[in-house]
Amino acid sequence: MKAQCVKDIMIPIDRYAVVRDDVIGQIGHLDFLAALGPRYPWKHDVDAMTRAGVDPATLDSLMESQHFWQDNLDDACRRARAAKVADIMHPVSDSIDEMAPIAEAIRKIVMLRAMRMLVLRGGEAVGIVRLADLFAEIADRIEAIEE
Amino acid sequence: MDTKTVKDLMVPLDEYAVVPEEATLLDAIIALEEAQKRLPEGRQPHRAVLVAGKNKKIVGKVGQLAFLKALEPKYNVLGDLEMLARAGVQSDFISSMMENYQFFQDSLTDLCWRGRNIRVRDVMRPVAEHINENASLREAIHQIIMLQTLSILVTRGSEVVGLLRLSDLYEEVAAQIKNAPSECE
Repeated sequence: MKAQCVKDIMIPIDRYAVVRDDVIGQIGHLDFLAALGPRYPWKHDVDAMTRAGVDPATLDSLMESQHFWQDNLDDACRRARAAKVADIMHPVSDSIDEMAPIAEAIRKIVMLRAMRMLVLRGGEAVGIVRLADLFAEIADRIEAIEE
Repeated sequence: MDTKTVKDLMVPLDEYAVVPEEATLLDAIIALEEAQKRLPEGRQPHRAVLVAGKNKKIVGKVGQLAFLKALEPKYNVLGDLEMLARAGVQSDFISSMMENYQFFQDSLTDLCWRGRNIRVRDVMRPVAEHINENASLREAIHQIIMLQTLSILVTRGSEVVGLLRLSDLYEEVAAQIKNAPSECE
C-alpha cells in the first residue's frame, strides 16, 4: 500500500541514532567532517560567503591563508574523539506533523534543501522523515505507472 | 589514514549510475537501481545519477533533492531557489511564495505521472568541480566542506574516473575516530 502521510514513511525516533532523550539538534555528515577542522568556528563564515556567492577559488585561497585543514588527519581524528556534539550540531528548527501528507513533506524538504526533518505528534518528536525515503517512495510510484 | 588518497575511497565511474542527457527521470530511477545492485556489500547506497553529454563526458548530476524538485513545474516560476537563498532571501519568505503558488497541490499521482517523462538535462545540476584521484583525504574533506556537496567528481588527468561521496569520507573518518586513542590516553 502506498504511503499516504509522513508517519507511513518516517523512521521512528527510537530507531534513530539519538544521543539525548530530548531532540534539540542534528549532526549531518558535513557537520561531522567540518568539526575535525581546527578552526571550526570559521566555518560559519565560509557558509555565509558560499551563500553570498563568493567564488570557490577565492574561498579556497582564503582558507589556505588561514591554514585551514593543514593538520594531520590522524591528529584531527584523535582530537575529535573529545569534541562535544552540542558544539557542532544544528539546532532543530523545522519540523512536520506526522499526519501531514507526503506532498507536504516533499515541499518542505525541497524548500529547506534538507536531508531530513523532525516529525512531531503534538509537540513531541516521534520520528525523522528523510529525503532518501521520500525519493524512494516517489521512485516506486513513478516505476509503477503503466503507460 | 593520512597515507590514503581519494582513489582508495572513490566509487569507480563504471560502478555508478550514468545516463545520457536525453534520458528521462524514469530512466534515471532504473539506472540508479541497477547501480545499487553493483555496489559492494556494506557500502552506502548511491544518492545521485551522473549525466553524460554527447561525447560521454560527465556534464551534470541529478541528486534526490533535484529529482523531487523536478516534479513541481511551478518551481520554474521562482527561478533557482538556491540562488534566492544565496542572495539572502529568507526561507520564510521563500516558503510564503511557495504557498502562494500552491506548490505540490496536485495529487502525487499527477506529479509522478508528469515527472516520469521529464528529461534529466532539464533538471540536472552542472558539475564543474573535481578532485584528482591522488589527492589526500584531508584535501578531499576540505573541498567537500567548502562546496557543501554530497559528492565530487574524481579525475585522472582530464578524464573523470569516479566519484567521491561524502558518506564514504564520513565512514572512513568515523572508523578512524573510533579506533584512535584519546588525547589523554
